[in-house]
Amino acid sequence: MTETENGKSKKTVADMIEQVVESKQPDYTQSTETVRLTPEQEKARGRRNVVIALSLVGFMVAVFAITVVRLSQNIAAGVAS
Amino acid sequence: MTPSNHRAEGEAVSTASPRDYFDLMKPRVMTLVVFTAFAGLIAAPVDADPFLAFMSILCLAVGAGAAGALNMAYDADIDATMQRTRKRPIPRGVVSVANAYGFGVVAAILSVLLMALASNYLAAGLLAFSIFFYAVIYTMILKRSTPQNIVIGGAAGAFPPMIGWVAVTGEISLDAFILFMIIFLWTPPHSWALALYKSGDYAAANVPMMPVAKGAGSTRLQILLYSIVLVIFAGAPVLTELGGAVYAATSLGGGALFLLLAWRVYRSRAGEAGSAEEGALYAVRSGDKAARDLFAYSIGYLTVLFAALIVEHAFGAYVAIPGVG
Repeated sequence: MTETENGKSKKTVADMIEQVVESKQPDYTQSTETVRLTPEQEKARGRRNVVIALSLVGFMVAVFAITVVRLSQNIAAGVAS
Repeated sequence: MTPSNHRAEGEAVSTASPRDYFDLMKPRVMTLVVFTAFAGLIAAPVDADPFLAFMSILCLAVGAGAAGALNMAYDADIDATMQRTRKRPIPRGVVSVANAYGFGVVAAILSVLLMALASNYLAAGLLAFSIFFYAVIYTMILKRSTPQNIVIGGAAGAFPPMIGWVAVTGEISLDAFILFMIIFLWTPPHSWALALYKSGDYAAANVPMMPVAKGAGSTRLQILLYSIVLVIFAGAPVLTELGGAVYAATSLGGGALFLLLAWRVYRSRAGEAGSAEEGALYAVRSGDKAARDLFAYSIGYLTVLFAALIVEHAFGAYVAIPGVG
């Protein structure tokens, strides 16, 4: 974070990168340690996983449905002409 | 493996719920985005496929939410210092900055891709540009550097009705531009009314909002001037026949009340006592009541303007005004 002449704070790209790196979770792949989750953390992770799964399924269904609707429109337009 | 090899009780593992990620998307802003986009889509002179229209609105909502998440990721430092924003998911420590960036970027990409599929490339391009404009131009560049931040940045919030229009017509017309301009002109008096009674919050965070940078008096005058321009411009849809009698009456009555409240703000001493102590959005010191009233009313004003267009175009209530057009 840098201070400008009029005292306002301004973020640099380096600040942003540092902010992301600092907030990153530890790299467990380089360690033999494992993570033991608390029941609360397990429950939260489970809920997040369910929502991610539903979102992915929703996205696939949306792409499929849009494709079908647009194909139908194009076929109908082709028949009409 | 011994127990000592385990990280103590899963440290650094998130307890964020899906609700926390939903909060990252600024649901209140998303509601207004969906509503104004729907108005633009309905007012367009094209019969849209209901499913594709629904998907376009959904993409807009997710795209706006993605921009909100990127904004919260970048502004986590100042959100933590402001009473109004310190309960957001990142300052509370339940979502990390990196996860918020990741969530925002993925949601932005998926929403733009789906928009291209459901409507057209122009609408998808406008959606991508509006996300970029809000997350980068406004959040990363303007917000911390100029008191004109929300004047220029307001363009990001003005895109939804235009995108809704373009999603079904495939082109940017004068009417779409008018809808864009109404929200663009509405943003300064709306945002500055809030900034007047939360100026201490912005000052503490070093954000140069107009009351902090130029003072409360100058801000009150600018609110009044922008309000006059807004209320006059809000009549433009009547001239292009986008709005009929219902819209004209709403614009006239709503605009008169808007001007009255803006005048009261101008005549008040709002913004001179600093911020309200508590963080609630509508918490206010007695001297700032006029600013709080204008802030609250401005949301209602924009809502009824666009609701009038929806009523006229979706429910057959359009009555042309004789001698116009």
